[in-house]
Amino acid sequence: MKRNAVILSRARLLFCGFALLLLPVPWFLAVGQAAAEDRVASIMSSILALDSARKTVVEELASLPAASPERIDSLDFIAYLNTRIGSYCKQLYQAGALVELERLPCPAAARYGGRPAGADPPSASAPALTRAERTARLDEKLLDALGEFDEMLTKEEAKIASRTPKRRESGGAGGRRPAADSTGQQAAGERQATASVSERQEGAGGTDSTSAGGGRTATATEDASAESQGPVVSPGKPGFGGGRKLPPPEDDDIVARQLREAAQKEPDPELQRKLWEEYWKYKGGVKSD
Amino acid sequence: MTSPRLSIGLILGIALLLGGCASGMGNVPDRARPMMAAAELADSELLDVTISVFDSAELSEKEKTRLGLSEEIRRAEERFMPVHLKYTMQRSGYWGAVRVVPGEGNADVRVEGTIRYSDGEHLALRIRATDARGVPWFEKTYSENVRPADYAGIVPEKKDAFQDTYTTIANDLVVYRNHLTAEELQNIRRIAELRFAAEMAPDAFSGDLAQDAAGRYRVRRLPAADDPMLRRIRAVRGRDAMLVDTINDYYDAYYRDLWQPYADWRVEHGKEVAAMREVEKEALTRKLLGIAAIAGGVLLSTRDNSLGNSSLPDVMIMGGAAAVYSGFQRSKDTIIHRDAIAELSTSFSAEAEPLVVEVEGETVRLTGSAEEQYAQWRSLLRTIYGSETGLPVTNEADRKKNAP
Repeated sequence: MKRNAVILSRARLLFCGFALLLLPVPWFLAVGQAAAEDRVASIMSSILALDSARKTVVEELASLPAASPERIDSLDFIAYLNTRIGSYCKQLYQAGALVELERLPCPAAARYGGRPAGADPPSASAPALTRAERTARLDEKLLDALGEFDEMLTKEEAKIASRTPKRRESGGAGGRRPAADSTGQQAAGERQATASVSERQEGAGGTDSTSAGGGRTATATEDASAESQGPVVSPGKPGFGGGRKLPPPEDDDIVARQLREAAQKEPDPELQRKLWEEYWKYKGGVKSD
Repeated sequence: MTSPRLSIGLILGIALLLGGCASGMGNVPDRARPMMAAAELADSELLDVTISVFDSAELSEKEKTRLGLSEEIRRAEERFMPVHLKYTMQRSGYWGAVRVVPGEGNADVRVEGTIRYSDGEHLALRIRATDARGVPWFEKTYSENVRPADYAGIVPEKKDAFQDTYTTIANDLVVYRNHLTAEELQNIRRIAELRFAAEMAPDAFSGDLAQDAAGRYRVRRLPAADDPMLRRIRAVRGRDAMLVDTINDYYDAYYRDLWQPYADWRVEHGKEVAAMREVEKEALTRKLLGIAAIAGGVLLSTRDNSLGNSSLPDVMIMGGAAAVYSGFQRSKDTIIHRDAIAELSTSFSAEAEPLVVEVEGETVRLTGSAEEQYAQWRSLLRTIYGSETGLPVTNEADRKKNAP
């Protein structure tokens, strides 16, 4: 009898041990799932931020005179934004977030190629496609390939448009904006943007304390500022973006400058944070090239 | 017996004739008026034109050493001239898209040119035009001389010093085009499209065209207007045109970059060449007159006894010798001009060469990446055709193997 009780007690201990060992499994699963969801949410947010910047530039484009340097810069920037959005959309596709992909300003899923994560491989039991369906799919593939070609040509056009004519003498007639002029305008624009940010911050009662604390802290303050004032331009310490000290404006090329301006103009704090991330990614890429 | 006056007159006449035979010739009319369409033409009447980057005749040793011409300058002109011809043709209103292409291109009309001679003062171009049917329109040589003053009013895209040449070429193309009936115009456009279609999707379209021994194309059968394959081909052809437009943007930029240095070089080079020629002409005239005087003196002293003890023959011989000597002295002055020409040309070559390298690099890069895309499209179109019709499609490698 006593022996039975001992066996029972050991069995209970063993069960409890197993139970204890198994307990973290669902938690780990949940954590992994949450991390994947976070990643998808982060990518979605980046896409929306870039799309917001793209919309703004496209709207501004309508008011810019044809062949003006500003228009050329904007076209270059749009081409860059398209590439970044395309890259994020592809990441979503590979992560299997097809439903989310549908809601975002992404190109048709078919153009990313390969099979998305979690999608079932085509099986022998799957119903065979009709000739019309097969042709329609191939047609779509062709259209996608033509679309890629269009994008390539758009980038080429932007590249040609931003090309500075080679002249033997500076100040020649008919040339586009000279480099020194460009930097001057850039710097002037930057100074103006910084000043406006500074003025608004003073009006909001001083939010300087948040600026050095990194992106997250800045976002929290930006939210408060947005609530109290409605859409405002780029809170944060002047000379800082995304919690990091900004380089001098003359160090920015066309894309970096446009990204910086887009981030400074973005009223939505979350999108603004994402645009600063894009800015720093771009700057990192440019430096490493 | 020849009278002494007649002898002298004859000798002087020959000398003057020899000394003065330096004038040029040209079949290009002065102040050629461009032919402009009186009203906007319907789309169906417009033919697209591709102008291939020009070719050039090999430079002779004399052109290189005496005139300072170089291969670098020719490479620049081979790209500059077709772009200016393009602008001239575009203004006429008779054409659809006029584009400069690095190779053969695919259009309704193809224009090819060879630079026979060009030194800023004289230009000779051989131009050949053919349509998509393979029918040659014409092959002509255009030649024109200009003076330094002709460079005064030049404007990029609109007026070159040799504008009469460009206008005459453009007018000749218009004249030929205006002889074509509406049916012929439509046929050319149709064949150009089918040739492109047969190149992109040979399984579907190669049977639609026939080519005779002379290389001329004719339509054997027409695809239906709503043929889905033709619709796809049109989408692809649109991209091909966009690619050529992009390449043209590079050529246009190159043309704008080259305009000023090329104009400067041509003016200065022309002045130096003219000055050198003037010196040479003067030296030659002196030599010839001197020789003629010596010959006349000798002739008079040996044949005409009526002159008696006259010193005229001696004076003629002495004067002639002096003239020949001064002619040789004058010839030495040409070295100064020749050095100036060489320096000008070296400087311009150094400026033009990087521009040529850049535009060639860009066109090669673009056409190279486009070729990859085209291969992908060809493959897709072949698969689509097979899927749509259920017919077996030829393998690309087999098709190339079986191609004539």
